[in-house]
Amino acid sequence: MIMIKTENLFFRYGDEKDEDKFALRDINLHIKDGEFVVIIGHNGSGKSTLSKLLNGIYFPTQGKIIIDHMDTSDESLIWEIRKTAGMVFQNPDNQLVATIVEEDVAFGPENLGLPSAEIRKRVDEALAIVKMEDYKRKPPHHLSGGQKQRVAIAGILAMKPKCIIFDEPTAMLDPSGRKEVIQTIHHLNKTKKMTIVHITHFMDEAVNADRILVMDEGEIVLEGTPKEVFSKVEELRKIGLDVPQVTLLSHELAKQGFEVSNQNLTVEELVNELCQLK
Amino acid sequence: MSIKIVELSHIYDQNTPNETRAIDRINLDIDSGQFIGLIGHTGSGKSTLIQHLNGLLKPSEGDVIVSGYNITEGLRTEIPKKRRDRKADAKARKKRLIEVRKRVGLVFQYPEYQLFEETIEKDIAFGPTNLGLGETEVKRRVIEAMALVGIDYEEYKDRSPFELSGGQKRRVAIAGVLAMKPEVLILDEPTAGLDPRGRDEILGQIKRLHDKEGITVIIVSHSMEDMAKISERLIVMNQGKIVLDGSPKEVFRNIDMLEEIGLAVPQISYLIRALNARGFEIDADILTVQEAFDQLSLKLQRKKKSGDIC
Repeated sequence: MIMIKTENLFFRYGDEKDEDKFALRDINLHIKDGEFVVIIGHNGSGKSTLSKLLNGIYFPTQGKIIIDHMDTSDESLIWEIRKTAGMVFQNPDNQLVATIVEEDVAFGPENLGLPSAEIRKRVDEALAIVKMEDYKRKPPHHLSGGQKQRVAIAGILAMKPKCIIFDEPTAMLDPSGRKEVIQTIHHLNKTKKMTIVHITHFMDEAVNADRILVMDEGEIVLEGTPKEVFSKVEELRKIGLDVPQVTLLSHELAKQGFEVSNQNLTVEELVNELCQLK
Repeated sequence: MSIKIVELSHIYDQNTPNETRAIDRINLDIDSGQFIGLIGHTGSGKSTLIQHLNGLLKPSEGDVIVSGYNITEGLRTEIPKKRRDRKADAKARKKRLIEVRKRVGLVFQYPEYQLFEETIEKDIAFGPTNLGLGETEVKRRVIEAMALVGIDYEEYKDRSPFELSGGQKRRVAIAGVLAMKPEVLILDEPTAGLDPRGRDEILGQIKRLHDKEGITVIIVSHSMEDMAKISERLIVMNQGKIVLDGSPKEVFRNIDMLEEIGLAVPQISYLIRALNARGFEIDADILTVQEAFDQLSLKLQRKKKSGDIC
């Protein structure tokens, strides 16, 4: 089943005077139910614009976006679409609205007009999934960045979405905060079978994806499994991206004529290969 | 210009139930011209520490001495009782702080949110104008600062800073601090949220500025890879204390300790450790891809001729 589909999607900002200057150009996406897709690309390549289109914050200039059988340009479906595809943003401080954690998580379901017993149940479940149940009565500003992002994720989960779009959720976090959030995202994908679209600048966060999309100048320029994409070191560098250090080292060694695969992504993979070279 | 920190502590919400000791009896000597990386997880006290260096925060205990001038003394002296004296005292105090802030430039996190003027030139000129410099000197400094961050003066000076991309905005904001010609430049996570190229550009420009002008640079960062590449000295903070202080090679040797306090080491360090665990005997201090490549290709070449490794 297809969760997110775009057909010949073009997008131009409303204040753009140049008729031919599209922020997104001919994007054709097919993201399957339960898939974990990472989007990388430099600042201004169109990643965030795309994510905002998927969530019905912007609408296509041309083409179509279908989220779980719903067309985002149909205004009557907009709330249903945002409920299906939730979104987590970069800055944790901009997303939390209430003075204690559980109230913040309850904000979404309250607005859906659910009965209070149902809200209670959803809030507790959502906080348990992100492992923040011990903090439910704490004020959000006493939490670390990673914890705040997990609360923001719980707020989305309480809406029972099928898909979550993460727009650089770890950009403002320290290494341990990043780890917490990435583990939470993996957990949602692996055990809860949720569809994940994860936008990031950290190449190491893309290593475990099912598929990576690389964007440049509003277009998708590369697409494939992490191994396929990261083996194209030169192409990625040309558009201002880099690859994980281990992949870069493998690439350089392979170029020197050693029998090393240029598709290694993890320390273990490269160590095993190097040990076999005799 | 040197900085000396003696037994510095800062306590937030002192004498309330929420009292927290954000930094705890820190002693630190920073020599003129050093390039320093300051790392530590969120809440370890990094930002609190750097805000003391130009007098934005007042120490609860201890002293901060910037090139011989004790900032804290100025902040802590008793306010005179007589009204007339009070006025003169406030004036002198203000003057001293301006002196310090002229010398110690602080670039906050996400500095692009602090842009406010109509044009880029006016925005960068704001600081030096407030230092009381003449018009021609201000203009000269604006041109120089823009060149340092790689933004063309003629092309951009009359544009609105709000039309720029995120990375460009940040560079304009940094130029605003550079135009004050600080002798010490402190940057709080200057690359957060930037893509790899933007990251390399900003760090490259800071590095060149340091090499050319000989200024002291302190960068707060979460990127261990960047700090391994760029800094001469790394200071690691945890729970308000300095727990490690040395060259990147010395600091990143402590993989277990760094992980325990919520930090990491560059991926290459993990690789070298794993290889050495399997009998590779590679120099444990290696931090960059280039160094690892050099050593590995040597090793592999040799082994090709003579037999097995593992």
